[in-house]
Amino acid sequence: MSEGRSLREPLLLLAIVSIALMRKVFEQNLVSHMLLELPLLSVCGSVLARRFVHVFDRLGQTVDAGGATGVALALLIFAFWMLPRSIDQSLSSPLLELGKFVTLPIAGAVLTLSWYRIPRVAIGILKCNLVSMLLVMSWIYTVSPSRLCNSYLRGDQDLLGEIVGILGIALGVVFGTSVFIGSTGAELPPKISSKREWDTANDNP
Amino acid sequence: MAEAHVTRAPTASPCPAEAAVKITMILTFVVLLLMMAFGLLMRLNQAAVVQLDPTMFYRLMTAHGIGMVGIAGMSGAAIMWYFVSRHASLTGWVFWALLSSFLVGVVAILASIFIGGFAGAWTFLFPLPAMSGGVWDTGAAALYLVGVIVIGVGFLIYLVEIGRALIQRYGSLSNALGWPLLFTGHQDDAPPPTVVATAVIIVFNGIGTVVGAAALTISLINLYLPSFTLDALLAKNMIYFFGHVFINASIYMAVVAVYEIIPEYTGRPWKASRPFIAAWNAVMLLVMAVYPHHLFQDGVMPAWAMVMGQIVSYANGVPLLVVTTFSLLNYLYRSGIRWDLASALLVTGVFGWSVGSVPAIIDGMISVNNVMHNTQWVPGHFHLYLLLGEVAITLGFAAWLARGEAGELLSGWKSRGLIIYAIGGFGFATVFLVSGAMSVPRRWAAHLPEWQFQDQLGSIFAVATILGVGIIVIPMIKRLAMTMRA
Repeated sequence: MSEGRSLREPLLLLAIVSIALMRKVFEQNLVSHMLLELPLLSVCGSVLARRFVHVFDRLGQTVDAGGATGVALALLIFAFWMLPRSIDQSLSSPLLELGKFVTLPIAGAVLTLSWYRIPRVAIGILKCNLVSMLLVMSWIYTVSPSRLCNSYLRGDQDLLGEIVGILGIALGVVFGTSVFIGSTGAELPPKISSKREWDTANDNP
Repeated sequence: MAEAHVTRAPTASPCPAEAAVKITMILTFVVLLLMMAFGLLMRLNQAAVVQLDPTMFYRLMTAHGIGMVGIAGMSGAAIMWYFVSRHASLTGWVFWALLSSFLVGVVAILASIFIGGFAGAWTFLFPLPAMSGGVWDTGAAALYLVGVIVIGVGFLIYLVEIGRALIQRYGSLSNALGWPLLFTGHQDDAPPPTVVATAVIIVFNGIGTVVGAAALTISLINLYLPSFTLDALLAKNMIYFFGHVFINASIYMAVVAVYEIIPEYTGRPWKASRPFIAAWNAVMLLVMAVYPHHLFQDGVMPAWAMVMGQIVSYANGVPLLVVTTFSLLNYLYRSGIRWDLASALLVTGVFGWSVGSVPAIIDGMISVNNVMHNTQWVPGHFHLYLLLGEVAITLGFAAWLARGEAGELLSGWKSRGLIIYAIGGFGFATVFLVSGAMSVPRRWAAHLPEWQFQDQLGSIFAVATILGVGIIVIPMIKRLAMTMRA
């Protein structure tokens, strides 16, 4: 597959998410804004980054040992966009809106580039953290005595809190169940540190 | 005396972060003695022998509670880490991270109590941290909660790492739990008892730790944003679920030492039979389902939860006691065991754990709980269970870890120390139980003169316990420090 063709789908996806009409659809209520637009932007970055994993492999080995730099950057970006204030201001400030469309794909991209370098124990912690943060976020959105976003209705906020809570529980069940299902007891291969090793391990030229 | 049977575990391998395990043992001795001294002070105050300001009494009670629960968890974690490393490949820095987070958390907690004045009991029951009545300020409560959260994060990393190592070695947790053997009667790579127990513990303790972290985070937010509240009954359920699971896990983690060390003395390997696997897997569910027995006095709890709490209380203790205590007696019988300090303490620990469970089962009946819940019966149960159970096993493990090549028998000051500790601990807990049966309330700083005889008696036994533990651990500290330098 040529490089140009391989970039077509992710760039097309990014364009679709970004066009004014789709933005209006996504941002007309809090649930689709938080649970569709933001994750889709990160997915765009992630899909794009997959095409460049080899390009950044050597650089990553020096500046992203153990995936720490990428994970830290991605978590900072995600944490910022979890704040109701950030979401609210992105609707009124074009600059912040632009920032959202730039930073979230970057977060998705760096997380993808770092993923195969992250130690397994850290992946476990990230999963636990994701579940617990979703539950805490659910609690904050549902028990808040007032609206957290000026641009959205209280009902939207309650609905978001409930959906996020269900999502957190569902992910907890999925992650929890996955550790009970596995091979018959053979040793798994050791954690790899570069994309080349990753490809070798997966027989993926 | 019969000749000793000493066999090494076939899969013995160097423990990563062994130095951290030894430091944890030394830290455990120091914290134990300090917290025991706090406990003695409280008993002396109740006995009217010393006069403490009531706020100081409740600060000491908070420090004693969180200190003992924390160090029980930490010592149990060290024991489990040491022995799991014989069966799966662990990453050393994780235990150092746990130890570091524990130390940071302890500093924060001690500062919140003795500088900030936090005295809301170790259970940080929502919304008490935010409602001090002027005894402590918001910052002190926040520091306490942050300290516990930091320790919790360390434990979560530790549990995830052990889970990762078991999955890497056995393919999945269900294999490590022995499910193929349990359900089909056959498993090619059957897990040893240590692995089965560890897999069970990381499942329920992982869930408990996450629930506890959520309760702590919500309490922390509530401190600064009081309008963000949580249903108090839900919060109590979360906190007691976490607390019950965590303290049970601490002793279960320590019990792993019995499975690994006793076979070295008896020459009879401890096998993971189907009943053994069934018992531990049952415990995985029962230990999480039994916690409502802490909430029998909350009349607004759903009736089904109360009934479940009572029924599961009967069932919870039985599987492990049968497979561990009964099996231990079987393994010991005519084994020609060589009694040294380590083996004697380990067997004492299983005795204390078994006997200490009985008052809990009795108090787990709603009709009894209505009378006994707020009496000293409850501290009688958990002091017997922990002081002669978890602590004895931990001391036994440390004695084994610090043992010399010569294989010293149980004699001299070691023997005296063990006897003083056992009599002191048993007497101390029994006085609590008798006082509870006489309806002496728990958690009261000041006691009526009619109750002070028991308080004085309890104080004498407390002194004996401290003396006995001191005699046992001081030589061990020296030896552990020497082995670390070597």
